[in-house]
Amino acid sequence: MARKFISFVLRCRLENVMALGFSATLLLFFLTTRLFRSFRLNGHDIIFILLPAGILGVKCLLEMLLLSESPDGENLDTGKYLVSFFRPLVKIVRDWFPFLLLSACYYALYTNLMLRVNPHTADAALSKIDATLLGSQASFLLEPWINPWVTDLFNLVYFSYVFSLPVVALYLYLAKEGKVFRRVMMGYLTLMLLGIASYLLVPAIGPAPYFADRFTHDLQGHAISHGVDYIISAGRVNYDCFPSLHVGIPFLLALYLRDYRRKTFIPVLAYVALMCGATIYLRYHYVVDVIASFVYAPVAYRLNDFLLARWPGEKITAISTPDGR
Amino acid sequence: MPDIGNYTETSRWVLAVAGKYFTLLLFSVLAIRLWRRWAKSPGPNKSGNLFLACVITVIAAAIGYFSMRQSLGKLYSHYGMNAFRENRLPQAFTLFDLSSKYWKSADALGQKGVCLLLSGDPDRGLQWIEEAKTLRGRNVPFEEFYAGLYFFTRGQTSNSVPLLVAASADGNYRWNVTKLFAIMALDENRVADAAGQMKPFMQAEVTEFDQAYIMASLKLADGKTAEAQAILSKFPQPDLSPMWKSRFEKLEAKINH
Repeated sequence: MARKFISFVLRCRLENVMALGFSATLLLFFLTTRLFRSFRLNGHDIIFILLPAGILGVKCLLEMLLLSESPDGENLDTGKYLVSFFRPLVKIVRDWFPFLLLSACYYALYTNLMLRVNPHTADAALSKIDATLLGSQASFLLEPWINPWVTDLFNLVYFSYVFSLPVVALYLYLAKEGKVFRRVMMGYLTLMLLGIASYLLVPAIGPAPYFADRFTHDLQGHAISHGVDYIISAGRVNYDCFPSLHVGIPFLLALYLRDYRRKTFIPVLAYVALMCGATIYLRYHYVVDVIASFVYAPVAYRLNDFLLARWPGEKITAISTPDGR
Repeated sequence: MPDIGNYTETSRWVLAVAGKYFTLLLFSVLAIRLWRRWAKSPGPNKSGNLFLACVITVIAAAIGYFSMRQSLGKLYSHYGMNAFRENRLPQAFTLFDLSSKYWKSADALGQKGVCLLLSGDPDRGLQWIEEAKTLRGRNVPFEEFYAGLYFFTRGQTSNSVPLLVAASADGNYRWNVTKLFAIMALDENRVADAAGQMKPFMQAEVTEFDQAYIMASLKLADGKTAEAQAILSKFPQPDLSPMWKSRFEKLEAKINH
């Protein structure tokens, strides 16, 4: 019986097993500890997963609307007809739901346990490393260069992060590069898991609040900056500095694009460089957070490939999937 | 529509609206395809296909009808809250009433109750707020705050305090509740308590008349008469409501004494 169960688990997709494992862990926490207060969908879950899945759902329905009725469809009995109608939608749910569940579980674990696992914030240590590297804080050194237009540009770059993964994932899914899509999504979730584990171990609030009384220049910026700042302050989870996933996720995507769309690699690296500038200039991260993201992203990339290539259910390797099928 | 600053509420609202209209689209597309299928289907299956197409069309129409009504209800409730914040109570009441005509909800009932409470019909207002609470199974900070404020203006401190304490759990009302508690303390000559309440905000710029009243009272208690007078003089008395006017007059009399 146990052998059958293990064999069944090993034949499942890795993301399904992980999603179920994390959901069970979460349920266990809910039932056994008061450390858990709530389970909420985070902005990442909504924008990174639900938004592209929703777009795909709408696209699928519109295609069905425009598609003329096939002679086969006319002859199918009602039950089979309804099954054939819902099948594409069920496939979208089937392909995206494990990623939504995993992402939501990570954030639920993080937001509940943050500062309970480790109440000592690491801002002092991180800023000390920055001071050792640069002689002062990068955000202080950048103060003479503050300009409203630069602030606007960097705010736009910083905000564009929310579209980076959904656009790439949606593109790969629409291009029917299923295995590439899953490799990228699993890579993203591996990086998220590493990042969230790091946030729990090294919670830090970031230079803007930590050095709030020491800045001599406001970042200024026009209406765009105020709007972005408002959205980010409303939506962000606190103590998520080390590493910077704003840099890590685009860098991870750059690594995947190097494998499948080599021509886009350099432009995406340029975008990553801009993102590095934005996170530091806008005082969201220390320099060491940005450096750490260049370590975390390749580690996630390798670790994910290692897991996917060895998972018995469905081996996905980096070399076998240029067309993703 | 909620304020974007209230992140959880916004997320929930966006998801609910997206889910609702996606379901509508799903059933509409299915209904259209079933009608097409019915038009082309051979004789023996025709009646069965017609029945299914009718059922799905009715479901799609029902989802569409209720979705639109709920959305309109939310929209008018949002406009109502805008009018309420601008202190246009009759307009706010009309909009909340319109909202509840489209979609009956405990929130709309409570909002109408608050409008009535503040526009001189406290019996009905309190009754509707209580009904909203019963319908919802709990109170909401908006209703708690304004009911608490109403009882405060009537001098019913024992009724007011628990409501204000509950409302202060919401960050939108915390500052106003702090000021009200400081005023209650000042009314009872507990200057030290009022100073304790306001301690974190002593350096804040005075921009509101109730804040001015508290700060001037505390300055006066400290013997800083000129500073108290300077604060009060920023808020011309003709602009104040009768309740505040009498408080300001009393305070000015104390300063000039």
